[in-house]
Amino acid sequence: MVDPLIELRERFGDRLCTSGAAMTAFQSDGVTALSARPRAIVIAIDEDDVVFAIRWCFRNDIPWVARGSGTSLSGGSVPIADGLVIAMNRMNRVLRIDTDNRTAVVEPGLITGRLVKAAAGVGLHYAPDPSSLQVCSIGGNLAFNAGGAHCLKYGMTSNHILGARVVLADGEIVTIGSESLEGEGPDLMGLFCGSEGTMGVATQITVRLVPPPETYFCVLAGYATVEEAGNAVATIIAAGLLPGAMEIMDAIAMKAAHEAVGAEYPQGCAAVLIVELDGSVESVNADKPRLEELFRQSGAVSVEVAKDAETRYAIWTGRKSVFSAVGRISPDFIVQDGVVPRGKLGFALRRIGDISARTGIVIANVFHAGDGNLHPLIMYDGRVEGALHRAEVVAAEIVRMCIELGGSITGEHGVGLEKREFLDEMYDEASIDAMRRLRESMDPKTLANRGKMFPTGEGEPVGLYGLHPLEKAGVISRE
Amino acid sequence: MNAVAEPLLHPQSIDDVVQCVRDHTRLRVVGSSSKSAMTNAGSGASKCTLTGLSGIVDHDPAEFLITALAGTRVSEMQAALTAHGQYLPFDPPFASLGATIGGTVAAGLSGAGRMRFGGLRDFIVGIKIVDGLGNLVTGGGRVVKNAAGYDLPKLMIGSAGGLGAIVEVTLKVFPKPTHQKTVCVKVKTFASAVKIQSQLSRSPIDLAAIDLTPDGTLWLRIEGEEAALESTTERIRKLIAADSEQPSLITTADPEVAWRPLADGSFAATNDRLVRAPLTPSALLDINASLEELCVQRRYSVAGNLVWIAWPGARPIQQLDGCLRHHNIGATVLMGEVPRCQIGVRPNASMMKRVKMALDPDGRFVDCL
Repeated sequence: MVDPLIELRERFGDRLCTSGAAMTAFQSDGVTALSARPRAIVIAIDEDDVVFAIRWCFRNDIPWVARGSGTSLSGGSVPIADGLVIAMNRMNRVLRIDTDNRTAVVEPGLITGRLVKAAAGVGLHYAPDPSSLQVCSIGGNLAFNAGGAHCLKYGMTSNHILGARVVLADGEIVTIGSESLEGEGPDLMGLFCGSEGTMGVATQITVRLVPPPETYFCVLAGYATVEEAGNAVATIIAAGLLPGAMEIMDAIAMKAAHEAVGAEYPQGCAAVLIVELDGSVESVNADKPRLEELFRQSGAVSVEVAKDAETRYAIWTGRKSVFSAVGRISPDFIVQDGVVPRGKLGFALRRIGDISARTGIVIANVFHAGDGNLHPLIMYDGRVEGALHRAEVVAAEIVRMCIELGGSITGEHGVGLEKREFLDEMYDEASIDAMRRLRESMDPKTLANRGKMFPTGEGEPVGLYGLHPLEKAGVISRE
Repeated sequence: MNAVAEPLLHPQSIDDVVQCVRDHTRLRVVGSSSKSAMTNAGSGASKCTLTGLSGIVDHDPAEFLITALAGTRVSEMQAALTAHGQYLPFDPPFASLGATIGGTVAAGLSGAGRMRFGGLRDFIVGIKIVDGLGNLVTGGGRVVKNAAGYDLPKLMIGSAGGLGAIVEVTLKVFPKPTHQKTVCVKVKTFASAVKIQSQLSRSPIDLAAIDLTPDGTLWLRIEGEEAALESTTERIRKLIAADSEQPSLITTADPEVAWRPLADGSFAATNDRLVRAPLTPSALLDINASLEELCVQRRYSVAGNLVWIAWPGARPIQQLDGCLRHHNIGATVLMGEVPRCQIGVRPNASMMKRVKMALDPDGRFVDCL
């Protein structure tokens, strides 16, 4: 039998990688506990490459994953063991910015932060701002419907993607969506966004741009307890204010951010709430006094207004540094991103505190409070026998609490590899069956990112429950 | 079509809808029939009317979410929201004609007011449908942020009854602006009006709606605190004074006059076909020239992202179809008599077929497209 890789080698030459150090870089993603060794990696430089690779996979029944920056926080871009990785990061051009239509057409490997910069260059703004903005790619944002701090007012990535050229898993190229804000027929672009790479891969993406907010009013308020901060969010929302962002950091997160980037926080507070109003001067000015009054009512012990752009930047630097900062105080951590109704935030935070106290596992909380989108950082030391497992049990308990409270297992990271065992706790069998049929209509051989999102029945289970036989056999591993 | 031979079904509950789907091989699902062109049943299909499946299932004002059965009238939801100072920012049209929320989703409709915060696709967060296998399927959820599973709520937007029967919808809502004002800007030429429209849509001035009529009149809706309305108007005045080549007349307009023609479809005369076509602002001038040649009444909305056309009942729709094809545009006929609702270019045919096969493999649901 002819080795199918020969065909790939002929096309990709030194852009095909099957061994060596380069392979290691692609074995894992933002969830470092999960990794698998692919058969090969190809680096695509244009759509023809992508089509070639996908058709090759289809002919040879080889599962594949398209990968941008590999920053997924759900294990969504972890390779499929013995599958192909299609690296998209060299397809990273801004193809066109259309100021009249307020759109940009870009390639999927483009770093999201560069898109933001390119838009700013023509006086426009790309609104989604995942915390990994400086490194993540727009293609990955699309695939996992990435969120960020400003979803409350502006929505998630899918609200900002208007159209795409997509190579489906059987090799067909389709154009979905359009360049208009309004659409015709079923919203196929909406379906494709957040499909976690299980239908195909986008090779060209049209995003919508908005006028940049004219002004900001950013406030950092301290609270005596995390629960009070959570309740303050519900109060502000219920009062009818619509801030651009509302974020909570607890004491551990503050400490980590302070040590990492020197961020300053009020003394004696168990939590801070960052609220940012944005928009036109008129609307922000109208909302300012109402917000200040609500802080008073909600029992804030300190209220600090960012007086200038620099202070605002410092507040956000502190907030966005937390994930990496926690890395300094704990060798490893699991981050969950479940969502609860905003009225239940205080309750959820207390429960997380109880779980932490009961298990002795340290949990930091830093999250998009305005959306009810939690981010407990569950700390563990991977070198200690059983520590990962114990952390995973805690993570599972928190995910289940979100479902129980009427929320979601994921607000913005996607289900990926990490939370797939929970999808069928959130949706019933008929709903998952319909999703499977949709997937198979685009990917009849279930090759595209096999093993992600769907609970069972495809791919190798790398679950949250101890070692899988393939792990024991050394075929896949968590490092 | 032979209307007499078609059974009429009136399910009163989600379980009833499931039963209807299981019992009938060809179904045409409709709401209150407020969009006449979209409600004609295909040949041999049973007409399944969901107006009995009505009522707000959940509205927790503090969560800014509302869940309603598909047959619930949009006006009923608006009333419930208004009582708590909330609203549907995507500004669904035809509420006064009795439009239901399920029909609004199936037709994929947002109104002029979607300019500021986004359209239906930006506010729908959850859905329940009965798929072609007769199964009740849930997508999304009852929280404002959710990345779990496929985005079925968005997929159902504009599905026109062809992918399943929408039985329940959950929407995100926003606090209702306390005041609003409509400003009308009469610009000397249509081309200058288009230019001003483009500048306005790129400016930080918060505008709830930007519509344009072929006489070169811009219709602008401002929303917010009372004090903010005046200063916003002043900013509009300055922007226009600085950038337009010719002086324009800016006046306060009666909101009824400005917005009602689209909100209740009265923009089209009784026998007209009311057509909705998405477009890009950069294509607006070319399309307007073609429509001008066809001597047809039209109105541009959402800063040039949409055109509404009133096509006279006496004129063959093929003429408009050809014009839209020439500009590579697809459109839907919402009201009036037509054999098919979809005219112009049909996008995404291949992917559409795949989705149809997945959700309705036996072809039970007859869409109106």
